[in-house]
Amino acid sequence: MKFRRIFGRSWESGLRAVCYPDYRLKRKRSDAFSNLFNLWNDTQYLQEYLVKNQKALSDPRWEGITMDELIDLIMEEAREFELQIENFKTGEPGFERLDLSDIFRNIYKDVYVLHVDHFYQIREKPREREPLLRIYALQIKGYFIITGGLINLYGQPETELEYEEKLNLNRLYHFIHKEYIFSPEEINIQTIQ
Amino acid sequence: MKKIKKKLERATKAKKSNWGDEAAFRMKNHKWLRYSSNIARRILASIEDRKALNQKILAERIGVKPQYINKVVKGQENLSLETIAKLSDALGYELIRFPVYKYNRAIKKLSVQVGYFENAYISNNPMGSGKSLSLKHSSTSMQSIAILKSA
Repeated sequence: MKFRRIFGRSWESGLRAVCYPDYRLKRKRSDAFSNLFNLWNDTQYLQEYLVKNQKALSDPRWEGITMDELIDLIMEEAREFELQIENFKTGEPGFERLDLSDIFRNIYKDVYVLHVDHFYQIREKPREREPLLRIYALQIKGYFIITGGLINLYGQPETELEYEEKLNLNRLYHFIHKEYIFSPEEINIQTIQ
Repeated sequence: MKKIKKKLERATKAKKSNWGDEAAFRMKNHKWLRYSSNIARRILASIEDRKALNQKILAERIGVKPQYINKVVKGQENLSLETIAKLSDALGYELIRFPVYKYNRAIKKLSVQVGYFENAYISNNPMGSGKSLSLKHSSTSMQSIAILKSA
């Protein structure tokens, strides 16, 4: 299994991503983290994704919003995400004393999302809604290993895509165990359903 | 176990993710990338609405390779005005529209209060640049005149 370093040089703290071939990308890309942001900035992918998931758009939380505005929202959230990671990486004011578990929030079991609330606090701007973008990762001590992510239109991860994401998490989990790199106590993960 | 950890660490250190460079590019070029995305959305919708049109045909119509159109619809191409014009013609749809600005607003009928000029005469301009109009103004009587009519 191959990994790519996002930042951080030791296993004590940092962000890494696995190199799985992404089932959504036609071209071979580098790693799960880079792949995600390429997808979330790919207009064709976003438009096709929203057309395919039109059923989810009938949810009351999307009432009055156009598909075009949703594309903007996704792109803007991806931008905020990148900005936050960059600020964290370079230790910008407000980020210098944080560790990754402050900006990634464990929403349930092994699913982590960027904890953008902190970012909004710094900008003194209240957050209006729950994040649309989800990042899947395993946490090992202060370390996060990204396996994938998705656009969460449903509020609950019950989509077809979810299965692929879980598969990727499982692969990493078993790799780590097989190689005896870390003991189960060191990995903040529960059995994937 | 330490050995494996070190081995893995070396392996992961070997290659840096492309994300850093890609993110820096996106942050630096955020504005035009958003324009490009907006154009891409309209191209995709236009193709979707026409049964006889696809990316390959569109590429042929504007004289580019299909791979180029494939990049354009991802919304990550810095399109030239020439390309936008060609795409607009090929789609029969204007991909960019210009916002209203002060000189393309409809000219309104203006009602201006001016003074009543008791006396007006033409005098020779001492600077030699031609004749100038001199007006003797009276503030006692005012009248309203329409100087322009709405087109």
